[in-house]
Amino acid sequence: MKANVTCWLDQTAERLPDKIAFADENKEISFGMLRAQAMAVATDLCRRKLFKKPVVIYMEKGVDVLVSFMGTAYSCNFYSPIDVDMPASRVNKILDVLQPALVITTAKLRDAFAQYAYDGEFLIFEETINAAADERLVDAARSRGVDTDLLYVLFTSGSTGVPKGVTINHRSVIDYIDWVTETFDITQADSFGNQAPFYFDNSILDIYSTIRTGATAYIIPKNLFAQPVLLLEYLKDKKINTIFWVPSALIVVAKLKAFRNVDLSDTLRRVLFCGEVMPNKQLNVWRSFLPDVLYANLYGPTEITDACTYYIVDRGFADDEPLPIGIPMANTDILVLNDKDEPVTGDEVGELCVRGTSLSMGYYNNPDKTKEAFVQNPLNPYVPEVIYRTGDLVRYNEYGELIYLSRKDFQIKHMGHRIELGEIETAVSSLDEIALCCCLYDEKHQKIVLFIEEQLDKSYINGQISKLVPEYMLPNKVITLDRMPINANGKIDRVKLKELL
Amino acid sequence: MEEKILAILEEHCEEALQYTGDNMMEDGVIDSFTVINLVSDLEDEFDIEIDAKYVVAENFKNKEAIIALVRRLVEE
Repeated sequence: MKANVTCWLDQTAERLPDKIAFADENKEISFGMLRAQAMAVATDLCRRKLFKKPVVIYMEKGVDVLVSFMGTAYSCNFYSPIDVDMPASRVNKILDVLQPALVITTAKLRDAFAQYAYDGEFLIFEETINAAADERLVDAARSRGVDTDLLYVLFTSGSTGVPKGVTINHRSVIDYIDWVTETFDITQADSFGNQAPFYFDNSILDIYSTIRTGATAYIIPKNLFAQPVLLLEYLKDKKINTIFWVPSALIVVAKLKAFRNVDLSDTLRRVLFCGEVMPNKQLNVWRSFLPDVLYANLYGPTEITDACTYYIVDRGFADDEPLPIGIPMANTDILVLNDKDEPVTGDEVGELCVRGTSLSMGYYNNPDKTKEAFVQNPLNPYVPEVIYRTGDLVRYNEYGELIYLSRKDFQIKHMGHRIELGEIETAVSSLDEIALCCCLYDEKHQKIVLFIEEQLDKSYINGQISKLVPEYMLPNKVITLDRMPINANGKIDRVKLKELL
Repeated sequence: MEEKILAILEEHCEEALQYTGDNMMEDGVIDSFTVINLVSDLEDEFDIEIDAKYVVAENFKNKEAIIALVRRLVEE
């Protein structure tokens, strides 16, 4: 029985101590070394008497981050990665919500962290990992923990400008990764090509499938994703047979027809994707060049530990057909509820709601937002049972598979990032010059479009709001109108604006 | 030709016109989606095919590099 994800690392490190677990541009780490270094980090955390406390990991993406994750998990604390490129005001908002007990970083980045509103303790990574571990001390902490203790908190966009911290416990990740590795038959012979940033929950699949099975995961350098031939050569060179990417990364490869330059038919076995809609037009390009690969569409919000439904592509689709998001994963149930909170019938449209062991425990330190999204199952008046309302509208097709239609609100997916358009509007509205503004998403060109009434150019606006929102939320296009269209209710007329795209 | 290329560049990425460094990809001026939109418009405008092998940081390092790439492909 496993109550902590690090039990997997214990087993794999014993079975395959010298096999490469993770590799980045600069270094690689074996399972044995990963465990030893994580144990050193955990020993330090235990000596500081930290237990079930939030720990921020502030480091460049690479294998060292994973050592820090595992060290935090061994000591029965929980981690929250903060991207080194995140704007200061957002970091401060996250720190305010999380109130971390400790920050794990490097000596160099510690100075950079001084700009934020934090006066707590630091653990300097490179000064810690080679210290002697006290396994008994760590074991004692770990055996006090239970599987519903938190493993991590990932922050997502919030419409009021305050990021929401999605909490996930050990049991949820164990449940999800058991499903992943069994469904896709992942073993130590497999190699992952990691695309997802570690603050994005798609990375959970790469990280924990590797640790559980003894596979190897290569952290692909970010700059390769705009250079498709170099990217495919990298996969071939490293013998990567499994990728789990956001669709936008797959689309770039398909649109530039990079398969004509690099033959991956003897290399790739599984192509999984999640995070936004995968257009069949681009998937069909992949399928025509690599027909023997297993393709699977995963769907789900961060609140259900990465994904809750899946569709293994088993038939042909026309370019303009939608790809199903499929059926629930094992030990997960989907309720599609209409406006009256009743299950839909036939092809009626409803909101996708989900229940199961991989469900988040709520938004950290935010009971109000938690109450809005995590609600009592309306079909069960008898005992407390929480479901999560995703805000995604779906319907069933004739095969009983779920089809994603749209959002109920103003949340979008842009290059795989989950963004509340309201958060961008809140940031733009904070500029003195701006009276009224509205953000829309141009799906066709994958652009965030900002409408304003003032003569201000994009570089000025983005220069100002880049202190407030991450780079991926900056508008790609700014349109100045003489007057913002207003509808009968006195609100900005989004339908009219949409016509201007 | 140069004017047309700059117009296309302006449409997809205004910042690229002012950029004076030598690695627009690394510096985050153009992302992967800007690159594919640019490639597709340049292909249509000049009736050329930009093979994926040319889509590397070196050929997109600044506006001069993009102009040189298109010129080379048009002349081929």
